[in-house]
This record gives sequence, structure tokens and C-alpha cells, in this order.
Amino acid sequence: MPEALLRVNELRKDFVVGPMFRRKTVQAIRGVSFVLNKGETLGLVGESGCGKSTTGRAAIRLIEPSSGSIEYDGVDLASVGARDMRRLRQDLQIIFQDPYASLDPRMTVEQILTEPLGIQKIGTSAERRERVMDIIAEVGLQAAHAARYPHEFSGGQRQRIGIARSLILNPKMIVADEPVSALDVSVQAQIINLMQDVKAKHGMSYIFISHDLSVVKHICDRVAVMYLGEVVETASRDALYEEPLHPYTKALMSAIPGRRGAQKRITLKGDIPSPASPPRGCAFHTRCPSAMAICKTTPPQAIETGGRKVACHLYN
Amino acid sequence: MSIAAEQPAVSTSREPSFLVLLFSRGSVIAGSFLIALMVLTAVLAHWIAPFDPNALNIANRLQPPGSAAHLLGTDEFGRDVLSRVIHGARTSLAIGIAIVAFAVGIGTLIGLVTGFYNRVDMVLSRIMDGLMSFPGLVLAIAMTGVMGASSTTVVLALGIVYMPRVARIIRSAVLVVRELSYVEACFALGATRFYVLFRHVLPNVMSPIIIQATFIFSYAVLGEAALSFLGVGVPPTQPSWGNMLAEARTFIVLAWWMALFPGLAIMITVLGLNLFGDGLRDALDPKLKGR
Ligand SMILES: Nc1ncnc2c1ncn2[C@@H]1O[C@H](COP(=O)(O)OP(=O)(O)OP(=O)(O)O)[C@@H](O)[C@H]1O
Ligand SMILES: [Mg+2]
Repeated sequence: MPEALLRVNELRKDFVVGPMFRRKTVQAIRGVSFVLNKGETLGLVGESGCGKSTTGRAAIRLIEPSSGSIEYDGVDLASVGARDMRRLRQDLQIIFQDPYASLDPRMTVEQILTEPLGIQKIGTSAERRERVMDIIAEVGLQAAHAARYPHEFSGGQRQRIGIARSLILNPKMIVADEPVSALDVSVQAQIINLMQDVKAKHGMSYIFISHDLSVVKHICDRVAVMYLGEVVETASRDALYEEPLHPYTKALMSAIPGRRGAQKRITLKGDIPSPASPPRGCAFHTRCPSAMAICKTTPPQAIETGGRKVACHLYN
Repeated sequence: MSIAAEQPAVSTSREPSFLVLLFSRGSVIAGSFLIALMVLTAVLAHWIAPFDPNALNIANRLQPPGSAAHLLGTDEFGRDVLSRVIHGARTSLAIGIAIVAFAVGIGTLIGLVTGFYNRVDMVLSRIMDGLMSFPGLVLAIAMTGVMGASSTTVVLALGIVYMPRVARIIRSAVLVVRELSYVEACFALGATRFYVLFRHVLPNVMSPIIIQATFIFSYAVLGEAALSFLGVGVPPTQPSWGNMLAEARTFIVLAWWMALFPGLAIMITVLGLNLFGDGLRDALDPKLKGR
């Protein structure tokens, strides 16, 4: 039985947007639940705007959830005070999508990597420097790079610096928000391999956010599929790719290019509804090829079948 | 070496290339030349001015330029116009610098806070809007009415007038920077808002701050002249370009040189500052930066 590191329960996040008097509420995530096990890579997939980034950030309280509970290593994260939360952040790190915006242009690599140790008051300056040089080597950069500024690096190298920054505090889990989607395809594989290497060495857990199902298949142990702010299906990687259950997952899978034995591609009709006014009933019913009468009125409950979870009336 | 790592994040290795970039612009070279000319004049005023700027010589009043050792002529009391313009540089530049320090210092602080703390923004930005919607000169004149005409009043009045402009520009720069991932990354590392604001946001809004400083400087020189011209600025015993213009007004038909030369001095200074500021803005524009 795998041991849970993070349990997220009924997490919600509403954003209030728009000018005064014309405020509206965007329900970015609407009751997301999942478990991240120790040493596991959990994939978070779904179309743009379905709430993957919001989920990843709210799960480590980088944005405050509107409601719901987050249990990290036995601690209720949502109720931790600001000071304790800052200490806990050592364990909960994040890697960003855009390697150009994620590094302060006015700091050298060494300053960028020393900063986390300074903030958390770890080590003497000699120890910090040693740790920084170790981590620089570990992510495949050279010692000479320490004195350089971010603009002197390629996107892939910058992503290595970002990974080094997230690793230097020895975190227990890392949220990787589309860490390779801004990179050239040739560089993507190198960064994925690096992420796998450091995980093999340190044994942390990843929440790996992506819309590229081939990358997810390569790196993830389990996958949660999101649609319009909800998790519609959670399953082990093998089960999900062998036999997707939810009609939305089926549609996503059928769109992977070059899939062997593929059934014909399922094209979804219509656009994603606005998260400001999600459809009643099952959020997916407006585009679902198998929609039934009940789907228009009643939101489906997630049910467990054979170690996987799916929220769809077809399986009730 | 680790000492070096803890120094503030001023980009040492980029600085030479930035200066080269800056001074490869004609406008920056010309602007720096004019500013340097004025600053040198102000600093060396005691030594280069041929006469005491306040020495009266009624016998020699209203002499035209070029007459009897008075290169730029004399005013209605026979005071040497050249010496007064030279000493005026002191007053005008000193007041300009004080106004810049006040407006940019406080404006930057308010811009940082309003851009970064939404709750403070609600209140403080409304106050700034209110200050800005008030006509600047009228506000300054009202303050002089209360505090009496002096250099201090001029500095406070114009400082308060220009400060909200700086605040607004810095605020919008902060709004951009605070959304960047490196700011979020720093929060994820456990930093406080205060730390992030001064360690990451402030250094990355330095460019608009420096650009604002040069433009506020030129507004300040003009503003001081305008207030002194209206008689609510620097008192006449202390020569400034503004109060020289004010006195010249009465004699404009008789003695055009009394108005021309302080006017030219103002024009050269403002031109120099604007040329420099424009070039600086272009050089700091990230879109034009190498890579
Ligand atoms: N700070 C914010 N303010 C207002 N709305 C937001 C904010 N952040 C996210 N949203 C909205 O919440 C919804 C979910 O956004 P989110 O960024 O989590 O999606 P995503 O799945 O990560 O998409 P992408 O694949 O494009 O990154 C979107 O409709 C988005 O517009
Ligand atoms: Mg996202």
C-alpha cells in the first residue's frame, strides 16, 4: 500500500475578475480531490484553462484556496500560520513553464541558487557555496556558469537553473507546471530525463502538469484528468492508457498522434464552456458523445472501480 | 567569493556593455555634454563668475551685452547678468535635485507599495489621483500662500506636485513585475512579501525610476522658474533663472538681454536633460537590449 504524502480534498478556487460593478466569479477549480503518494509522479492533464495550474498552486498554497482541505504529511496545510508555512515551503517546491520569466534577470546563477538557502537560513556562506556548486553540477551545468546572468543561457539551460533552485532545499514534493512545453522538442527529452534522474536520486514526489499526453505517459505513475475545474478520472498510467473510462479521457486519448490500434479519433463538438458559468449537471454534457438525460441535471459522483476513480453517469 | 555572492544584485558584468550601449547614442552624448556644462557652471560659480552677482552698480545699469566688461550686459541695478546666470545655475540645479529626490524618493515608495499591496492600493491610489487632478501650479501657489515664498516651499510644493506621477508610473511597472514567475518562485521559497518587494521588484523597476528622475529634473527646473517668475518662488536676493526672468519682465522692451540669457540657460538645461532621458529610455528598453 503506497503511503500518501499529500491529500487534497474538495479544493476550490474562485477568482473575482472584472471592473467594479461588473464583477464576476471565475470558478477556476470546483472541488478537486486527489492523493499524491510518496515517491510518485502524478500527472495532471487537461485542455488549456481547465485549472491545472490553479490546482498545482493551490495544493501548495501558493495561491490561497477558497475552500477545501490539504493534508500534507499529516499536517492540515490550510490552517498553518504564515510563519510556519514559510518554513514548510522548503518541502513544497515548484518549477515553472516559462524559463525566461522564472529567473530574476539581475541575479547571477550563484545568487539565484544561494537565495533559497539565505531565505531559509540554512548553512554558513561557505556551506551554501558548496551546496550551490554541487547542485549546479547535478543539473548538468558547469562551475563557470555560476557567475553568469540568465540572459546568457538557452531555454533548456535556464530550465536546468530553475530545477536546481527547486532542488536546493531538498523538497519532498515538486509541482512541475508544464516544465517542458516552452522548450524545443529536442531539449524536452533532456529536461524530462534530468527530472527523472534527480527523482531517482532524492526520491521526492512530482505533480507533473502537462497537456502533452505522450510526455505524461513517459514520466507519470498515475494520472488525473481534469475538465473545467474538476477531476473527471484518476487512474494508474497503464490502466488509463490501456482503457480510458471517462468519455472525455477517451476523446483525449484518441487525439494522441500515432497511437497504435487506435480507434477512430473522437472529435468533441463545441467549445469549452466558460468557467464563469459552468453547465449544470455534468460539466462535460454539452460536448459528450454519450450524454444521457441525467447528465443535464445531476452532477456525477466520483466512484471507485478497481483502484481507479471516474466521475461519469455511465458507470453508476 | 561567497562574500561577493551576497552583494546586492547590481549586474556588474552587464554594466560596461550597458554604458557602451548608452553612450553610443548621439542624444545621450549631446545631453550629457549640456548637463555637464550646467553642473560645472553651478559647482564652479564662485570662481568663474566675473562679478559678485548681487553687487549693485547704479551708474552702469541696463548696459547692453558686450559693454564695459559685462559680457551679457547688466540689469536695472547694474548687476552683472552673466554672474547672475552663473550663480542662478546653483540655485536652479540645487532646487531641481532636491525636488527630484523628494518626488522620486517618495513617489517610488508609494508606487512600490500601491503596486504590491492591493489593500493599500485602494486608498493610496485614490489620494494620488486626487493630487494629480489638482492643477500643479495652483497647488504650489496655494502652498506658498501658507508657508511663505522660499526655496524650501518651492521644493515641497513641486515635489508634491510631481510625486504622484512617479508613483503612478512605478506602480504600473510593479504590476507587471509582480506577475512574473521569479516573484512567485521567491514566495515558494518562503520569502516574505517585504523581502520580495525590495530584493526582486525594486531592482527590476529601476529603469523607469531612473528615466522618471531625468524628466522630473527638467520639469523641476521649469517649475522653479515658473514659480519664481510669478513671484512666489525663490526670493530675489538669491539669483535664480526664474526670478531673473521675473525681474526682466518689466524691462523687456528696454533690456531684452535680461530675459534672454536666463531663458537660454533654462532651455539648455531642459534640452540636455530631455536628450539624456530619451536616450536612457531607449537604452533601457528591454526590446532593444541584445537578446
Ligand atoms: N489570477 C487569476 N485571476 C483570474 N482568473 C484566473 C487566474 N488564474 C487562473 N484564472 C482562470 O482560471 C481558469 C483556470 O486557469 P489555469 O491557469 O489553472 O488553467 P490551466 O489548466 O493551467 O491552463 P493552461 O493550460 O492554459 O496553463 C482559467 O479560466 C483562468 O482564466
Ligand atoms: Mg497552466
